[in-house]
Amino acid sequence: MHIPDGYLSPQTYLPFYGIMLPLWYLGSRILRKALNAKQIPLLALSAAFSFIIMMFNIPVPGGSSGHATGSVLIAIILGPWAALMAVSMALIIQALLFGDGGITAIGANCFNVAFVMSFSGYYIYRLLSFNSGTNIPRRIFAACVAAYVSINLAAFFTAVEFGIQPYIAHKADGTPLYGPYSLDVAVPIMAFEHLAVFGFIEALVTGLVVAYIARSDPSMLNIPALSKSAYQRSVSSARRRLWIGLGILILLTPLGLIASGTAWGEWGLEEIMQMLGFEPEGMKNMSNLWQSALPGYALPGLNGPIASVVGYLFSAVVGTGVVLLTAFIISRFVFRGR
Amino acid sequence: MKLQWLKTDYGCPPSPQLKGSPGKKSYIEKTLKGITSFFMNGLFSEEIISRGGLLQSIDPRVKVLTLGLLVVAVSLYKHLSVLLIVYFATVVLAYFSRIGLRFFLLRVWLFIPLFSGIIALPALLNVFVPGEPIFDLVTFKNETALGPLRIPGTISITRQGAQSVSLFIMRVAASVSIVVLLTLTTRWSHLLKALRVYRVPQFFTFILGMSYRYIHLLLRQIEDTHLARKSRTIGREKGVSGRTWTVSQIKFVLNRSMSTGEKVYLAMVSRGFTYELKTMDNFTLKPVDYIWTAGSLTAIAITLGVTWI
Amino acid sequence: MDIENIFEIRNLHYSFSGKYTALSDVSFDIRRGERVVILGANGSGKSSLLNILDGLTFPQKGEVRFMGHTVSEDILKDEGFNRFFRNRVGFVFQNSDIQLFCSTVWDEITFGPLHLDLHPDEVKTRVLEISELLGIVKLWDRAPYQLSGGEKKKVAIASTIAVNPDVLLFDEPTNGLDPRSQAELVDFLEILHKRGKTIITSTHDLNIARMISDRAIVLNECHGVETEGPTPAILEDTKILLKVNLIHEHIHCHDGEMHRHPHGHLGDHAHEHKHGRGHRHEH
Ligand SMILES: Nc1ncnc2c1ncn2[C@@H]1O[C@H](COP(=O)(O)OP(=O)(O)O)[C@@H](O)[C@H]1O
Ligand SMILES: [Mg+2]
Repeated sequence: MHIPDGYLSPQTYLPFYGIMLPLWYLGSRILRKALNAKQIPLLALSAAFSFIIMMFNIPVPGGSSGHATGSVLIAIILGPWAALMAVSMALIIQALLFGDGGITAIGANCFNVAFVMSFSGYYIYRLLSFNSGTNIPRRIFAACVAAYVSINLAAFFTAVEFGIQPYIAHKADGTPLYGPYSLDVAVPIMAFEHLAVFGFIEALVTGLVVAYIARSDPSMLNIPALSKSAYQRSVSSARRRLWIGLGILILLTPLGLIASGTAWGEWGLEEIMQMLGFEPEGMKNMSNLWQSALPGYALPGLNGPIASVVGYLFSAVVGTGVVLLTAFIISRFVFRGR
Repeated sequence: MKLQWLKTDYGCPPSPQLKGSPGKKSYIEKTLKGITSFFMNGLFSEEIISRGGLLQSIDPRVKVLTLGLLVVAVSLYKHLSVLLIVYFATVVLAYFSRIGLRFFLLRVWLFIPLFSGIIALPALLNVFVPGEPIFDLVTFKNETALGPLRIPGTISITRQGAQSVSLFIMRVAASVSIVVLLTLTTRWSHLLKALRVYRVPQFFTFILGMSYRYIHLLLRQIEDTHLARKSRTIGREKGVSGRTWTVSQIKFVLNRSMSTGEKVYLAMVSRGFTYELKTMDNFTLKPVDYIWTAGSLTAIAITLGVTWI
Repeated sequence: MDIENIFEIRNLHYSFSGKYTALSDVSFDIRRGERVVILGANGSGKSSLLNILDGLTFPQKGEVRFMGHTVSEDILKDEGFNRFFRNRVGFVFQNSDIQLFCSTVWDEITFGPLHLDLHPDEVKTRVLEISELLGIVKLWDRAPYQLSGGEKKKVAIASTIAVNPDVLLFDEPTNGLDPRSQAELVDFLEILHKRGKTIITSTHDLNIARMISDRAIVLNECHGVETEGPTPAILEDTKILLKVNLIHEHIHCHDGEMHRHPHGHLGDHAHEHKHGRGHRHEH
């Protein structure tokens, strides 16, 4: 998922620097408050840990191997801000040291792997392991799901960054100047790789290490000690907020779909492009492409907006189910393995 | 007398039998190879720095600025010819910096963007990049769709595709070459000090330096435990024990890095560290630095001018 | 309060996470300009004790007084006292890899003086002179991981001495050094002693202890002070050394026949066996 130099146009990589600079600044402030002077050695060693995790090959079925990024693991242990900083440092060392480039893409790479992945992973973990107390299987399960989902999220961002290049940077005759593949190629390929391979690697490593910590040093996983009543209060308010949030989400999803009258893939791309003011050639064909790209989003035999909403919801439920099931299987596997 | 088994019999060595094809590496070996190449990388650049060529003699601050600008410029060019010139310039620089050309070319073309090249090739086809066909490969009866892809009736190489692939590959090659030149001729510590001159906060450069320093320590420890394990095991490692090894190493690194972090903090406090970091540099600019800066900035300006005017 | 006493240690108790005892009821004084060795077997609490003397960890019970001031976590948060204390007490850690955390040897040696706000010119002079004395000028641009064990120790010592502390704590400084480096270290400690430094060294090497100290404090395996006294007298006391496991009863087995005798690291040690032929054991 490491984007080298030359893949992204300046109008893509510069905004990511723009996003990351304040985030890094904020991160250093927040950690200074939390850890004071200790943050320097702890961050340095966490970055070293992150760097080394990325060096470990994990087997995947079929004889090949890949590596995990460790962002979610570090976020679970040290919190999302420390993970943001540590993983960023590890990525910067890689870019500067190994010479495999990525200098211009440091902002984008850190955004995907250090920011999106750490934060989404951390909050998914918190949500799923919420109120689990000493229920360690729940925590491992939560860690696996968080790792799986958030690496896919990061891969999605990477694919979009890569895939928008032909639209935003091309010559007059249509020759792409940077990454040559459009979204309809980049997104499915990255999604497939990460749904089928790297997601499992990340989930496996995260789950196994969390299982290990839960046994050897459980205090590392615990939320700071609260008094009993304060704990109860935070639990019930968090639960209330969770339900309200979920309710709003459930209500909004079909409304949004009905309003646009199309399935996710279509409005996502076209509207974003129009908002950015691009009218690239060949965009008209895109909607057809997307129709076939995501056939699961429309149920056969049904037509119109209702069908796409139903199809979307159906796909979403199935998709979530698949993710949860795989996470469950992995967490079982983790237990068996030990 | 007890200890009957404790006797000495040197025996004779069995004739070695190689199992499996030598090309197929287990993933543990792959990991260890990665660790070894990490150390080799450091040794290589240390050796190249000591050769004292052109880029080695240039002040790190100047080098970071000019080569950094050049990478940005490479991301802005629109003409293949300009990219080719810049790429050729990096090869010339490598030559004058006494970096073996074979090593330099292999490093850029074989190891690093191998996957970029493979990734890029399909983009030649009108399946991926639509455009004017210049060479037809296959003709089907009608258009088909393969998942998200619309396969046209005739698959052909397009002019746009060919241009795009060559632009893409040369852009990646030029960028990677520049970064390789920088890292091969500059010590990590000097690189960080140079970044500090350009207002990268001390906080970041210091952590980057410390992190790299402890990556070395932790990787050495992994190597040592692997050697210790290897000397004790008989036969090849199996899949399961391999997974156990990998996970146990990750746990090991986790524990070590956390406890080392705590101890290093104490070592810093012991020598007066409280909150702010302070360092002192001893860089001085030489005439060659000014000449280099003027020359490279002019070159960047001209090439950018060609692109945008 | 006795102004001659640099450190006054009273009834120290220290345990890791409340469970693993490292020090138990430890009391002693360290006088100005003294050379003291803390003798103890592995795990007897030497490193824990030195960490406390350097104000890095704090005992659960008991008191550490430095030049009349009680050293506590709170008082070290005071910038003035922190500077006063860090300027006067230097610590060479047992593990050089922990102590050498900077990117280069130069950064390492300048770290202490810079953080204690010495003038840059003064820092340069000090770094140059201490590096010349220890023969490490040529290492300035190296990274810590490019150094041998002996070089690392020298750099660690240089980076501590560059602050010019009055009291120096050395934690097992000769561990892992070859005989030549050990001899160099002993000579260097002699120089520091002549300049009036107070030197506290922890070791389990009795041979080294004799050369670098006048007084010995012996820790036993229950993490308390077994005894203290002039080094030569302590090193003669086989009974105590045996008790705290600094020497061990070596059990010899000669073709079925067994015999015991005390055994330590007191230099080249040889003995005769009563059943003739008189072969030598060397360790
Ligand atoms: N981080 C730690 N956690 C728990 N116990 C420890 C830790 N460090 C040391 N100990 C224990 O404290 C005791 C004293 O250790 P230490 O001061 O390192 O001894 P020494 O330096 O004499 O070898 C030992 O029994 C050791 O096992
Ligand atoms: Mg010790």
